[in-house]
Amino acid sequence: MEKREQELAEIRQKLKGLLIENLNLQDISIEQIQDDAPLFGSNMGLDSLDAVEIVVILQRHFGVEIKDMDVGRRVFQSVNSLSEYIYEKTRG
Amino acid sequence: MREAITITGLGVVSAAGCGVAASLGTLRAGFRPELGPCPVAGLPSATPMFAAAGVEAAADRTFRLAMAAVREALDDAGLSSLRSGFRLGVCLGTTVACQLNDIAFYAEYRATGNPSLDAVARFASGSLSERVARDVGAVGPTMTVVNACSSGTDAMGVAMTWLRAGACDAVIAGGADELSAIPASGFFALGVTSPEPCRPFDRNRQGLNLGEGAGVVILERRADAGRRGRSSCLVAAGFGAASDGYHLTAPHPEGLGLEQAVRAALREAAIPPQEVDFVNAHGTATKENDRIEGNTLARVFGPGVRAVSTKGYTGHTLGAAGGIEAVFTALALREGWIPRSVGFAERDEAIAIAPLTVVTPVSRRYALSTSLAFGGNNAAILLAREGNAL
Amino acid sequence: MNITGAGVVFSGGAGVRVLRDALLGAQAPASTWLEKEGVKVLAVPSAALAGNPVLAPARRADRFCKMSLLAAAEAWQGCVVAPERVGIIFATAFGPHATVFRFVNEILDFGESKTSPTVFSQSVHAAAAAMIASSIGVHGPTLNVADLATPFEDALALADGWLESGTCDAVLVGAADELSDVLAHVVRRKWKPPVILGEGAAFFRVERTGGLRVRVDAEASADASCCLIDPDALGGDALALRRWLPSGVPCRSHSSLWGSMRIGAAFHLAAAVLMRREKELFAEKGLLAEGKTQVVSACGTRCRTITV
Repeated sequence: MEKREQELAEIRQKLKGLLIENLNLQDISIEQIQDDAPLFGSNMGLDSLDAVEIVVILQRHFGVEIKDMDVGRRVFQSVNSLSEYIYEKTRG
Repeated sequence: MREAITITGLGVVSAAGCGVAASLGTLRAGFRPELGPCPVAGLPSATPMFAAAGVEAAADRTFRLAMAAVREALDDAGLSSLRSGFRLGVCLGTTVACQLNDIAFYAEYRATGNPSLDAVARFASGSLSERVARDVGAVGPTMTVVNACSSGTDAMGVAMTWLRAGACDAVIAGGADELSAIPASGFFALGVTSPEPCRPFDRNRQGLNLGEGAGVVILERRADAGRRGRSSCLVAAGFGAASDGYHLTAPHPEGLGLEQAVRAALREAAIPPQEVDFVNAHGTATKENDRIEGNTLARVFGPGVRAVSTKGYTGHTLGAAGGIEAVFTALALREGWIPRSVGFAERDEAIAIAPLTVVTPVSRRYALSTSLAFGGNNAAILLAREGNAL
Repeated sequence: MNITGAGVVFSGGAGVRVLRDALLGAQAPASTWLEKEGVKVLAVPSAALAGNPVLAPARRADRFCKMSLLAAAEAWQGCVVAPERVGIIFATAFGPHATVFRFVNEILDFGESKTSPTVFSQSVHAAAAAMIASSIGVHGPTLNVADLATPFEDALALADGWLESGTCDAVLVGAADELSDVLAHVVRRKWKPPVILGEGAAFFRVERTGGLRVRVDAEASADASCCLIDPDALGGDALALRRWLPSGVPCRSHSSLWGSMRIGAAFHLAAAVLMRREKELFAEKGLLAEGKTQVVSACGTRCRTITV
């Protein structure tokens, strides 16, 4: 269980860094991104172009494919939901 | 009353056919053309590509496609040889040919630091419009429009501005683009390409297909065409363009820019929406475009508006689209029939319009062609048929 | 048409104030060294593209877009025309080629089906004007043009057409071009005499009245008291230029301040506008004479002059 938590934490950390870099998020640090904050909508303000960019991030940096944007919509809710999906697909 | 700008020549090449006659044959029959081999190597088979008919694969393909349509249009207009002092302008739109983007060149640069400069030499020899002007001996103004998907339509708007300002005597206007791995890869990455042949406005549409080609019109002030002994029943009656100012890749959800552009074109022609017989819509078959465009057209013209997307015959030809679709719209007015919107089968309740499913006779004088671009520019050109009653 | 606003980003920094100081000799931009190609260039300093509130909402702007956005926003400041009556015409010779090559890199490294959609969206020529429109909130027609001969001059002439025909009440018309290793490589191999490449953006707001009168012609006119030229304009035709210049009229060039670019005329126009705004000061320095200033460009048999 602890191992799972540790790996999830690593995924979250890596993911946040990649989001900041690849989505050109300005004036925000890894520490400032909350794990369960909604990524889309007024909070973090990500949009449809970011959604398809996240598909590429998952593919390139985690080897995880999203073939269907309906899956994407479900999974892209927050850093938590993304990280759990990544964990599930790579180690689960 | 402003002086009329007539269309004295038409030229076109796309998957629907090489030349006006072949294209009319495809549109009349109402079936998708069989797709020829894709001239671009190494593209994923993830989405059908509409290669243009009758132009051999080569480097410099956009220029060759453009010249095929330009020569046909000039011939049609009786301008294949120009008298001394005749100011022929060239305004063409493109998205591929305006970039130094040759993949082989860049791969060689990356690998060796000393690549062959052939691709560069071609690029440096001039922009698309500059090269076409040089090839045909045109000495009027030149301009290459790089407005993504509305380039071809915008180029015609520029041509109309030039003619009204007296900057030249006639203009070669339209657009050209070849199939290229760069936009193919880019649109695929955006998730807007369809793995099947595209279905504009259809409930089950899955996205766009890319295509290539060129569409060119010759525009002249009516009095000048008359002095040359040319008369034409076709007129460029109005043009409008407006920017959504909304998002880099998504159109404004209410289609505000499109509505503004369409109304500007109607205002220029001084006609109400009811006088428009049909609309050749942008209709790329993406979820967003068709919904927003369809609903905007319904708002301006009423839900019963006769609309067609010809992208089921040509694919989305990017910078060429506005040019090709203006030619198809002009042909419909001239021939008296509107092609059916191939690829459409089932209505989407979220869209207030449904396109034509059969070849339909034209009954009024005006027709509109719309283009919505990546980046949010919207352009609309209003054409008219004058002379004998239909 | 009349110039009612101007904005510029160049190797000296961002803002017409910086250009003004550079013209007065207060601050000459330092050239930098492009390591990979071993050439000197006049690059826009990174500091000029950071920290400006105009850029804050434009997180997807690449360097090319940032330069353009800053210059356009500066030129637009103070505009009171309704948003749907403001048009944009944006000209370039080489476009956002650094971003295009970044995208080609993606294709080469990851394959055509695994590239970044964001990089692609930035590489499309229409991105810069789209960002300007959404950033400053204007909704008139937006046109991007890419030509090699006289892109800026022709864009300016078209802006006049849009004003005269009533299509717009104000037009933001400008040009931008950027540096990259690839471009420097091409220039180094194609044009033998050493050329110091530049980059930057220059924008103007034009309206029917107010401000400084400007016109574009296809030949030089005798009513100029001074001609501003770019003698090489990145592979331009110096001989052709000489042919078009009116005799007996002094010629000056300030292109050492911003480098060699096909869109150099836009920067000379900015210089001319600034000089006319502070006539006495620049006259004292011997940089401005009574009468009109003409920016002259030539390419083959084509000539363009911008007269203020």
